[in-house]
Amino acid sequence: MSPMALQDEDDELMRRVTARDRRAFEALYQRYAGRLHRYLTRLIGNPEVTEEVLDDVMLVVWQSAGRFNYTSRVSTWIFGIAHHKSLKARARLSGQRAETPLGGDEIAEADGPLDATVRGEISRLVARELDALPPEQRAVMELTLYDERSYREIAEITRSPINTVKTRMFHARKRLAPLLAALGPGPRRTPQESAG
Amino acid sequence: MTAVGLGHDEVWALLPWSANGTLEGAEEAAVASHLLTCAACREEI
Repeated sequence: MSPMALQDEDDELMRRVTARDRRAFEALYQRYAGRLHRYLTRLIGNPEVTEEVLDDVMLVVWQSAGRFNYTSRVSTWIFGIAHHKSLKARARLSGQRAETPLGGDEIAEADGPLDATVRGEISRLVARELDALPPEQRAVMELTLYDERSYREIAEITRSPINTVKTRMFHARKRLAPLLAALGPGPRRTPQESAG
Repeated sequence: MTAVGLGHDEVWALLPWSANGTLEGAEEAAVASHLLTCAACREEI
């Protein structure tokens, strides 16, 4: 189905949800739960809290459907709610989680040719560094890489100016660059591997 | 379509959205033409 047809269907579902049609709400839920769950998981981490926030987002959709104005896309509106809720959940959790951004030494150790173990370790460090990004930078990365959003849509979802979206992406990429460069374009073999 | 002339820094900033296929025509054309001559940006993609 074309993107335009999907948007028309979304609009129609929203009209029915506004009229308190539960089957339309279920259809909307089926359409978005998977995507929202992936996004929230990446931003929040904690599975239980992710489930709670997902329920919370869909409750707001059910209760506030009448406030949707049909000038933006339904998916942008729903992700805007999810974005707001996920930042609040992260803030709540951040007191409980020990966040330890990487020091330069750990990255420097990764210099030189890499065997599979080291590559695995660096992938783990990338995941950790992604977790350590400021939430707004992380959100821009996730929406771009995994939800394939345009920078205009991300500006709408995060309620930020377009230049702010680009600046957040810029800083996130600069921060991850040393690790991504260490990972390199593909598996590399070292002479020691066969000797081991 | 007229390709917008964009400098290296502007193109570099747009690469993630070029990679996810959401750039609009003129910007995508500007990125594509920059990639022809810039090895650093090609590597990033």
